[in-house]
Amino acid sequence: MRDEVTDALDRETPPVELSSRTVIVMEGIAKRYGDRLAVAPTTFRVLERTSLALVGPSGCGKSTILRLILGLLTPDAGRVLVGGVVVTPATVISIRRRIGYVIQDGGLFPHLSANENVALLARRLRWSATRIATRVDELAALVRLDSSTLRRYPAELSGGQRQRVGIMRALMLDPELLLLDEPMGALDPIARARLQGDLKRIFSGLGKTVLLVTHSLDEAAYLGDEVALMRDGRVIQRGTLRQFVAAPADPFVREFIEAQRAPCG
Amino acid sequence: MRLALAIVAASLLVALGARAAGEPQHLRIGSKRFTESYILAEIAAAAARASGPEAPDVWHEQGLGGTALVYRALKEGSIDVYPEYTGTIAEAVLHVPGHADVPNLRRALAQEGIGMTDPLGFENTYAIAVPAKLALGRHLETISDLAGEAGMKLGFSHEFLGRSDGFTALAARYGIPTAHVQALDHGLAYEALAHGAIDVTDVYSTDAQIERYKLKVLADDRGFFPSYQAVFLYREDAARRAPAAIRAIAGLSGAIDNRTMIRLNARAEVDARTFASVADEFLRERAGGAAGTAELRPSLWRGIRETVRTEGPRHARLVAISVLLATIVGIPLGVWARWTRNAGRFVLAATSVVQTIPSLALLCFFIPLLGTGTLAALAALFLYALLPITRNTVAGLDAIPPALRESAAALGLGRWAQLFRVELPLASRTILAGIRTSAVISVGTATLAAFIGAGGFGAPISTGLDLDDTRMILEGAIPAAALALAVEGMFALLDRTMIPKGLRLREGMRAGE
Repeated sequence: MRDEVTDALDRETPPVELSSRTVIVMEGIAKRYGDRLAVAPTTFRVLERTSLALVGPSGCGKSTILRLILGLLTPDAGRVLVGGVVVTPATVISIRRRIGYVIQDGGLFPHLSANENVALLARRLRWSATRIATRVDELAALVRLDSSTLRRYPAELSGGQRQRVGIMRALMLDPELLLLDEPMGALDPIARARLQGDLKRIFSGLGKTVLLVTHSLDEAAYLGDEVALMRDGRVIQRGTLRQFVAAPADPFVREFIEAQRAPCG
Repeated sequence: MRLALAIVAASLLVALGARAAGEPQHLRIGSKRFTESYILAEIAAAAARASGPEAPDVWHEQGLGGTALVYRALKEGSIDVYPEYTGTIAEAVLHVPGHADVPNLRRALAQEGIGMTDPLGFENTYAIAVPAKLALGRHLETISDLAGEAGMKLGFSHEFLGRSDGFTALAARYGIPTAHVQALDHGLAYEALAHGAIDVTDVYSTDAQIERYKLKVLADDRGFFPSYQAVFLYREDAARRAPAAIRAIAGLSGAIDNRTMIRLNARAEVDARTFASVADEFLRERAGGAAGTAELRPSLWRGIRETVRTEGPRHARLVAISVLLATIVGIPLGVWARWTRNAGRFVLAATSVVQTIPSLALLCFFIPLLGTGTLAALAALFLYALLPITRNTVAGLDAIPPALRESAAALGLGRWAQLFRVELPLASRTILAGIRTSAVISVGTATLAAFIGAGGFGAPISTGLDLDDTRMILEGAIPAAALALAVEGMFALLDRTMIPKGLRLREGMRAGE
């Protein structure tokens, strides 16, 4: 049923000119909250099996971009395509199921155990119990959680464990695309370092397309193949950290890099 | 074949007819909310039960309400018989004040299918009373005698002084000097008479206190007070259904004079006897038999047990059904209110307005729509229970952190799955608290249901209020309070068993953090 709708929409929408390796396309996307422009008309792509880190000061619009891709917000102008399909109310549910979304502190449902959180959507899709159990075991090994931890409720888990369960939930349906919004935001430095290492391993191991939002340039550089620096709803510069340092696009880029390099910064 | 069918059908019909004829008849006797009406209804019930081998099954629908309500119940067939007064029939039922003569009333009532017995022999109207000793000493027999006496201290109730057909008109008719008149509460007048603070007051002519305080009712020799002769009203179809029983009730006419009625009232109010035993004793005395054993009203503890046994199930049923319906309607209403912001605000405002209507007024509002009794009470209780449930559903959904709401959507759950798998479970604790509030409020409000004839723990409360009998009020109030506590306890238990464990943990963790 869903796929019929998707297909119909595909036929109606003339395919944008894109290479087969493009997963996310944003075309002239703009979003305002009242008078404030959260995202200025922005166009960018994310290629298959690459990771892009959106970085910038708070309020620069980086989280808004993730919400626009997920269809949690409707753009005021432009359109978003995920895997060649335009995000519309009719396609949004099937698109969301192709995306894993991880937010700060995991966003786990407190009334469900860790296991139930991970399996919620698979159950809705009537996966068999064995299939669910096999998949949960795989993911638990991947994020290094044991099965007794997974029987607990979110309130009984540490911040790092909650975040790992959140990642399991995002990966459950094996989505082609991962969106992460400050995934390390609520963690202490040790848990953060461990999780960063595990994430890097997972991204490269699974070959997912990743869009990561962070305010830390180090984290962006460590986890992203590419970094996009945003300010006031615009992408100021996109490239590798090396390029940022060698040829900053404007004084703000230099300032941002310097501020993050400062000790204790 | 066709013949066989016809024979079967005919024999079925005959069997049915025979069955209907063989079934015992029912006779329901109603009463208004005051001692005298209860006693008269019990007397009628006892007379009907003793009316011979064909005597119907008789029961007494106690204290249904005021005139309008009880007459309506008679007309609609909820009851078959009840005691009434000619003056009231003329004023409040037929709206022809001043035409209270028996043939006139009988003719007018016959057009509505209602029959009226001959007067029972006493009147319950305003009357003027003085202490019996004083009457003896000064040779007071009539109100005219009073007018001739000098130096009498007059004390009347506020109502009697305020009515256009009250003291002012009486004084004008009899030429009573109006200079030294005190206004006082009716309940205090008897004590004031006993202590000599006043000499004369207004009473109801069959008031039990007349006997208790040894008062003399002065004859209304100039016919000032309108006639309020006691009669029984009955449905004419009841007279066809149970002719012997109605004949027995009509046979009571002329059997109860004012002194007898005062004595019967006093037995119930002063001696705390049950209405049924007062009625029973009256009929035995009338038949010339020995006086029966005086059956006193049971002790408070036994009264409570009796109330719980007879009214408990009705009360619990009223609360359970209304709260269940309010839950079934209230939760979807709350979800809808939350989804459609403007319409939702309107719905919440509307249910809040309902909450501000005094409960008794709301109950009475449903009488013209749904009649008296359980249905009207359920409708009112349902509306009362609705607001806390709807409001808490909205509040519970509002309180879900936006991040969780987004997580559920971003996961790819549909709107309904988001609602049932995530939002409602997260709001469940707040919603349950709303149902708990509704249930506890309903236990209290349901006591008012008795005022419109739906029974429950309010029945002894309303009777007790009418009879100024604190013990009887407690017989209803104590079980109602106990039920409210039990409901609280039950919901505390439900909170522990129904609410997902993870939600309860969260509160504990937060407190610890």
